[in-house]
Amino acid sequence: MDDRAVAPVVGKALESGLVLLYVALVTTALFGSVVPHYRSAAGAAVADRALADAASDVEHAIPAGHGNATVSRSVSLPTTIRGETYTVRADNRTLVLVHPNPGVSGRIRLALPGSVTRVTGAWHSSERATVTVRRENGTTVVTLEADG
Amino acid sequence: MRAQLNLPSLGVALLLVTAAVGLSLTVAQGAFAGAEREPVRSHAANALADRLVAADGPLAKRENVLDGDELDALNASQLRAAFPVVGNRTVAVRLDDRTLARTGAVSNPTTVRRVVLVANTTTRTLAPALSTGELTIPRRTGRVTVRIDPPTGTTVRAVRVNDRTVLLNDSGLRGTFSIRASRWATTTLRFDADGPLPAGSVRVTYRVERTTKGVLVVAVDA
Repeated sequence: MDDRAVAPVVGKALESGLVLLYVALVTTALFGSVVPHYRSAAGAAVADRALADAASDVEHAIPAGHGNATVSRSVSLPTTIRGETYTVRADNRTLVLVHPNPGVSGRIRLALPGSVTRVTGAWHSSERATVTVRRENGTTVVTLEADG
Repeated sequence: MRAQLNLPSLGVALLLVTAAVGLSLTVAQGAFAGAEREPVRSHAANALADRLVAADGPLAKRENVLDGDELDALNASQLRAAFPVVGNRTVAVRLDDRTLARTGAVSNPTTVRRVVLVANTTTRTLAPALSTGELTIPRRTGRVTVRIDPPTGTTVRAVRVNDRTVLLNDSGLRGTFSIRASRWATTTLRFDADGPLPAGSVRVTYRVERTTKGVLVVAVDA
């Protein structure tokens, strides 16, 4: 009967050990795989939406008619996706979103009239983005520019 | 061993917490699935519809007015070539119930509708006998082609459109002439001739555009 006082100590130690083990397990499971997965899924969805909005902004910046014209239009891009900044660049009439996380990416084709000669430039999400369309002597150039 | 009786209740508690976590994850998954949209696809559908009806588009005569002949000639490969936004997607373009072009079978598409006019142009020719020298064109048109071939002994000196002289030659007009007219006013041609103009000595050709309303349906699949 000398070890009677040990029983509650062992019991409490066992319980707290179990709880700690459980919390550690759940935390690892959540932050190791579930949360990053959700963050990437949400980031990919936001990237798609941002690209689609940016593509419509570019398409609507093209002026009607045939005369010389210069049009500038600001484009709203989310500053960060999945907590990090990213770039959007033009690649052969396609907008490509480049993000440091491999789970987040996207590309979208632009619907532009045949009169558009080429699309160049890039946006970085930490800067204000504008699209400039210059039509001079029959050539129309669409440039993605950052200002300020 | 009485103190270790707490262990089963702890186990049950942990089990309950696990169930709660699992439930929240399921709810979160459902919320994600419910908020899932296809922004890139709907952009493709909207952009394609916009390009189809745009004034400088390959099928359009004017903004929202499509050329009926071009629509009849449209096919899948042309659609891909003229509208690069289609890319590798499966796209169907319909006018009301008539399929104009289809790059494959669309099963669960994003659909965009646009109300359009379809213009069909036909050429008509008038060659009546002109007793008064006047001819009113029954439809408004932007351009009239006149072929003057008067009988011997008759000279057509001038042609007037709504009292505006457009052709004048004192020694006589002969041949085919193109005359601009107004689409916003009825055109009356007046031929100044010093003799009779029997049927066929003046042939007037004009183009008539007939427009019908329709709904252009653009369906874009993955």
